[in-house]
Amino acid sequence: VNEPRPVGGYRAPSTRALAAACAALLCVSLAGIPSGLGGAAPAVVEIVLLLLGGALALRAGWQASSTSATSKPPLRAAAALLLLIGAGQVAHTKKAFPFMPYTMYGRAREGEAAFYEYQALHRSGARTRFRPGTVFATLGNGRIVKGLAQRLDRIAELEARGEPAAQDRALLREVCGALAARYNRAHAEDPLIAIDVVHVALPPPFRAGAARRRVVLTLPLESRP
Amino acid sequence: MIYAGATARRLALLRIALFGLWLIDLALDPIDEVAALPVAWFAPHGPYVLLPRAVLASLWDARVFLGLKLAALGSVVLALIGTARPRLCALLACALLTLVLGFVRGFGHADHSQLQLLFATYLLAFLPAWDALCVGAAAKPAADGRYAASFAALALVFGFPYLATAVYRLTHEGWAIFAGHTMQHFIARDTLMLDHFDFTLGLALLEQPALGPLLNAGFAGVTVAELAAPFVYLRPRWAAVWLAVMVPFHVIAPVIMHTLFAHNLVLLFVLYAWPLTWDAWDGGRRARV
Repeated sequence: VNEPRPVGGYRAPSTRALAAACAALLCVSLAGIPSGLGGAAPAVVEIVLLLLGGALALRAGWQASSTSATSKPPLRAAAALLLLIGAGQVAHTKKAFPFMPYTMYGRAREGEAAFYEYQALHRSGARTRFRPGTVFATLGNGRIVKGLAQRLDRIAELEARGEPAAQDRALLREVCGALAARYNRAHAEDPLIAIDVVHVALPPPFRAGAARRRVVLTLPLESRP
Repeated sequence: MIYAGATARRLALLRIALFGLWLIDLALDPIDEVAALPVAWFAPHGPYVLLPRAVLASLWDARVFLGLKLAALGSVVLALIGTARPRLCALLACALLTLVLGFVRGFGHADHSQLQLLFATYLLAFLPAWDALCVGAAAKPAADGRYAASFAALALVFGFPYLATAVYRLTHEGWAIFAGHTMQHFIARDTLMLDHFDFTLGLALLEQPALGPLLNAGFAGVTVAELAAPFVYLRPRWAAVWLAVMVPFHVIAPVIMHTLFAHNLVLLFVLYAWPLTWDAWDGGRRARV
């Protein structure tokens, strides 16, 4: 009863056919898409799976709730949004916010985990870990720390190629200065006077004691009012 | 489907919950403070890509950012309480929330927290969510399937990004992502790098090699749940099993990986856990009558 009727000679695939196609593509993906199909094959399979999955989800929603004509507008609006979310996944750029690609924890990782730590030198001579992500509440969730890491990686790349990185260094210094100034407003009794940027590499099996640390940059801070 | 008991009042309660969440979120978010950072650091996303750099620089002021936040707060309050022209207020709230969320993502990493809530809010503006519990004159509630279909539409929009995440993971890496050290790598990296939480319980887990296979199995289990996300509302048992996977996942993730999706936990409650109680609630009411 709920299967689609032919429109203009075209009969849309049945729910069972859509589900079978999804399951088959998922099995192929799980086994690993053969590299002989070319580098673009995973992205093509991803798009096809998203289209089939979205169509299947909409079909199921339609069948479960279309008891009257008034049920249709909400599902049509949902279909439009799914299309935009799917288009964002295909466009694969975060510039398309809010329709950004969903790639979280999506690539296999081998080898060491690398990141940056920030060691603060206080006026008293004390050394503590400085946490940029806690200075502005708005910029938690990795927003500022990943931004700083991207800039540090860029500086390292430029310098490795022998290209000037003075502009990036100056911007990094300005941002760290602003973060420290904000921190110092709340900790006037023992303010920060410098920040060491430390590159940390943690090899598998990721025991904290095995981390290798190397200071890559020292940022002296101006004393701000 | 778990939304057979949907009514105008229940959809209105959902509207109040979603806009209430935005209200708390915005009220606690001091976005004006980031004016202390240099404008050159800002990497535009979304609507800000269209803004010329010179215009952005001229607007770079804590008072402008506070104004944006207050305007968003005002529109959210109007959409929540349902005054005159509530749909217009909701659309305005959607636009302003997009500007606020796009703005804070311009300082480094553009994360996905709040986005499923934003998509649900976009959709809400096109649903009959102001047919009850409004300060202004509400439309007359109808006795048909439109409210159940509205909940189903919200579940589709909430579940689809989970599906997209799992599809990306499987198509690009296949089974291999669950077999090696990938999960341990993510736990170590995020526990140490995401510094808004000051604890390292994730690293303590990695000190126990016997837990490695369990972590990989959990990663695979969550991926299966993500694939099922747009469909689980169709059967109460599916929804219950899915919640039994997704709620612990969203609770454990911040503890061992510092990755917090607090808004999704609220959506899991209002879109799945709460509707699962409707049958018992309505049955009890009928029995009392």
